[in-house]
Amino acid sequence: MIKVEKLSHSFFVGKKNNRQEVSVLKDINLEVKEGEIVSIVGRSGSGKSTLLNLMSGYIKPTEGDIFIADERVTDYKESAWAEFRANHLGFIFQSFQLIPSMTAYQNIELPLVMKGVSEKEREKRVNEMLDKVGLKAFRDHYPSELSGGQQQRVSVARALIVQPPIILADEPTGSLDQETEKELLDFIQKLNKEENITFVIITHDEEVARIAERTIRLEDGRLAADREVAFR
Amino acid sequence: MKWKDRFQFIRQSMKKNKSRVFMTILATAIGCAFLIVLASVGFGAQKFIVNDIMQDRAITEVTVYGKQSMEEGESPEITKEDIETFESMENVKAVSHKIQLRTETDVLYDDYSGGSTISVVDFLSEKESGLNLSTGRMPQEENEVLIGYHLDQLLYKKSEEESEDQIFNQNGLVKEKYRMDEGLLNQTIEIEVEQYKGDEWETKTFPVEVVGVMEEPARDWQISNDVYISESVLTDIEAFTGTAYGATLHPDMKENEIETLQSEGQERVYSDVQVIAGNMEQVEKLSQNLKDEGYQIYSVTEELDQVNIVFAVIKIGLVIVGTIALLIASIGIYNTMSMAVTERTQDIGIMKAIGGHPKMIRSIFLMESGYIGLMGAFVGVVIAYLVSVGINMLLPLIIQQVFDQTLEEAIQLSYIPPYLALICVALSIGVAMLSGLKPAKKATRIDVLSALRRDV
Repeated sequence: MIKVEKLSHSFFVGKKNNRQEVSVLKDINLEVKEGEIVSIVGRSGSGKSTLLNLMSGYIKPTEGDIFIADERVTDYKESAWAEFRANHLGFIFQSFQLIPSMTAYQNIELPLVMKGVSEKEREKRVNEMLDKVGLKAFRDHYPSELSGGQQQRVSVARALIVQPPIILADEPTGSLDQETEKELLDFIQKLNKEENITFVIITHDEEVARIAERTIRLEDGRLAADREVAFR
Repeated sequence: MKWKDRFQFIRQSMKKNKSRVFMTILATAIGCAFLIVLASVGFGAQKFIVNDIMQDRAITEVTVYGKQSMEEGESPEITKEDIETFESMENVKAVSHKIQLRTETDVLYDDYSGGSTISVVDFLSEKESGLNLSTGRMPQEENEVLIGYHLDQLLYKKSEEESEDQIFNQNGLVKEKYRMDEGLLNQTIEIEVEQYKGDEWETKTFPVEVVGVMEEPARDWQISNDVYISESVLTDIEAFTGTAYGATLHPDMKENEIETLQSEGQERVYSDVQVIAGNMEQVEKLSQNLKDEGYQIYSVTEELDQVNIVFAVIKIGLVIVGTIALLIASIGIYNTMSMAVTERTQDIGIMKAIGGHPKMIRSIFLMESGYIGLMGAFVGVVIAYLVSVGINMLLPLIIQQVFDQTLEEAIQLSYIPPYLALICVALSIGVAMLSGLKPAKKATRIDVLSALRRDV
């Protein structure tokens, strides 16, 4: 589903005369199969967020190739990435990234609005999704009127609404308490089993990795370990 | 994203900062209203002058002065043959043509007399050309005539010893107390013609019957002392004078001059020839045809063309000045849109992160600025119409107060044609969208990661 080949990313710091290259990712090769839950773990600064940002198209690699859903996306321009993201990828962020001026309903509806889905169809799908994530009673609440767990569920619902085959999650439990974290992880597992959605989850919390079939460890921008978890 | 959703999206965004959007719309509205009112003064003045030009002349009239290009031996004057040519031309409704008497004549009625201008006309052609009567009917018999509206107000008793200054009022008409008691309609008047015959002046009068009085001239200052006679009366006059068109001979004239006056007139030449087109649209074509045929012509449309060119230049100038006001308003729109983009950076970042297309984001901001322009233009048009009505109502009062004069007819200083309002709406939307172009571009360039980290 996702294939990364010899992927490297670096950036420059300092002024013109004293520029220094900082290498964040070095020669990463990995493959994520359809229906897998893969967790990418590592300490802060190990390059895991950079890897996810490269897979999301938010930044461009210095070297190497990225293939997602059999498409080489490495050289995609911004508009091509926008279309690709809208059709193939769902995103869950640590800080939820909900639009504060929109209600829970409107936030979940947003990807469908941007895709030009009809109002009737949108209403049906968003209501179903609200039901699925248990937020029917909160449909007209603004993010500021929701708890952290509820906001993250809105975020998950927004990621799922376009039925993407892949969901990229960046520290999805980072802002949640233990109980809410468990609820979310169970929900992710359920989605993976029932709808065969592929998850790539970035986390520094080893606990989160318990739901993953594979855990990839990054250390100083290099792939340090890639192991399958026998029992989940 | 559907257009309806985009529109809903921008309305929702605008609601977040109502007062700022309101002020921007107000600035645009004032700019628009200024532009329209300024241009409307140009339109008003043009309308006033054009109406003035067309007041006393039919718009379908083409006056023919003479022939421009002639073959050898040909006269530059308009002859019967030319009139027939005009009548046979395409788009011609009628041809009005007159022969002016070449002598000074007096009109007599009882003891009253006064000067007049005698013309020979073809009454049928005149009727077709739009000659209107205030009373009476068109002549049918040879000795029946039409008179000008003011003729009976120009006759007075010569025997009275008052000087002309005492007899005539400031308008050039005979004062009430010196006028006849009754009108000339259905009365027999006499046309007095003088001629130098042998060694002395001889006078002869030609009685004719007044059957109709022509309409009052359109302009206040015009005085009509015309008498329209038939060709047979002219023939009688010519028989008396022995010259063509009743030309007067003088004792100091040379023989060859006298001979010329006596011998010409074999072929009638016409003055005051007007070719009347079927409608206004045909005037230009008809004018061109007449020019092509080698005639010297004049039509109101030619004068109107020149007036319209002058006013087009004036209006362009006024619109440019007005557009400057709109451009100033556009700075406000630019500012508002830049603020909107800055405030919504995170929202834009989120939208881009989950698949928002840069084109869609740009179009949303362009639509928002265009919407501000549209609202501003709409309000501006309403304000402009109100101001225009106000100006037109106040102007007569101001003229009355300052110049102590009452206007007989309403002067429309400000006139807003519907297309001016439409042009302003289009201009306003265009300028607003141009102002929103840079902020919209800025919105599409927002870096997703920076926006999500909230460090922009």
